Amino acid sequence: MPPLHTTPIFQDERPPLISHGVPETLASGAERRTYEPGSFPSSEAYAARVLALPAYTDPVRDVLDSFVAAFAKVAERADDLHRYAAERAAASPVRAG
Amino acid sequence: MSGRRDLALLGGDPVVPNAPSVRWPPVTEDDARLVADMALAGELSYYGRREGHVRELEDKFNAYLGTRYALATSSGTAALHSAYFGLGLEPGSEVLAPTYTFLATVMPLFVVNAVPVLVDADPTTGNIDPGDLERHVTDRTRAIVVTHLWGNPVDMPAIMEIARRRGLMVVEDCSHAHGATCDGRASWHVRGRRRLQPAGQEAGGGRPGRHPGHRQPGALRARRAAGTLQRAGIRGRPQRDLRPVRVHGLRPELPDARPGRRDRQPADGPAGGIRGRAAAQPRASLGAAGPRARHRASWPEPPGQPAGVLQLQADVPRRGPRRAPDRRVRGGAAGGGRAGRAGIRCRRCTPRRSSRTSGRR
Repeated sequence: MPPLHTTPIFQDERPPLISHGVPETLASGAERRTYEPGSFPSSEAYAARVLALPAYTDPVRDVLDSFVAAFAKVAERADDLHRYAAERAAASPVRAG
Repeated sequence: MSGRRDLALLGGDPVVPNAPSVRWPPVTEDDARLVADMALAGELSYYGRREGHVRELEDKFNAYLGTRYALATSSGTAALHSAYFGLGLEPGSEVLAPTYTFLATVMPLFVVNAVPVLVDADPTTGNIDPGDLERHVTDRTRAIVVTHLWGNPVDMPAIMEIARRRGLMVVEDCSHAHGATCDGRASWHVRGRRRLQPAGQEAGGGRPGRHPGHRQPGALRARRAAGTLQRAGIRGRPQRDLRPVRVHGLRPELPDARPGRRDRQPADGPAGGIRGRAAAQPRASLGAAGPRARHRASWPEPPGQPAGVLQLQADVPRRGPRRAPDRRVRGGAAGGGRAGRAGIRCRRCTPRRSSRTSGRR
């Protein structure tokens, strides 16, 4: 989930919805607030390192330990996984354009 | 290369052999039956605000939370929309909002011609950072909206202190914290951080990630804020284009007033409390799934929004009838928990005296 300020809605010159004029013109500064990457570093740092699991509808209590083990396994084998991903990418390059 | 064989990706044994499934929303046969009964009874829509199953749902929700007013809406986004409209924000009113939240927290602000002003996140929880809040306050700032992300409560005492001092209204988006309680006044303050616990978990059933409240219809709770409630309720009715906002009769979440059912969420099997997000869902659950229903069923969950539906409560100062009624709005799907006595707030951060700021506006 990217922080909102990194999305077009908060970066474009015009607001996403204009139903009765542009409310920003009435707001403080009388102009639209736009943001850039880096405007809110804490949120970006947080978003960059947080993983969210799905909202499981089946009971998960019994498998939580295995989730932990799975994360640990991925972390331990990160190099192998990266190499595997690189090989895959080299074998089937994404078509340009 | 052979060293990789143990990776599940390459055919090795997976560490999680049987991943739990994600079936959303979990609709039970009872739900389908009740919706069918409503359809057969012609209970497809309501004209008044307080009728039929909607009224029942709102009453039970009030009882569950120990609140006076609840307003069922068709989604959490609609609940936020209703709340913002209910607050009487003027065009150009600025509302401080977290930058790290789901889009639905701020989109309704554009619709009511208010201006979301983003605030940075707390580096440990991702929630809105009270320390970054005040530098964004201007003479046009009217309200603060916070989202209790992933079940971690926002530092509400700090938020409320700023809100009182600055005379701002507060809306809580509790879509991730529905039915939650804080674990007592002492721990709230001693530990500095509250543990937000879904009520169902306390009852030995639910867990945050699958809590039924994630799919409950939005509800607006407004203490002693009949005016706010009235405005919020207007949002959904007469205008045809706003029809989807207010809950009408035939919606699968109405039966049996879900709030009560949340505590009874079974430890196994599908969660009992949450209904679909759209009127199309009943058709799907009745086995009459047309193209539309299939389409809906295939929709992936939007990233970062396990709920899909936000829920909102509004809570306004108790005293001071002559004061602007909606000085303080607590929204959010959370709040509730143990019959609303605790919710995500504690007494000390929820002043009940008329000494609360009269604010401005």
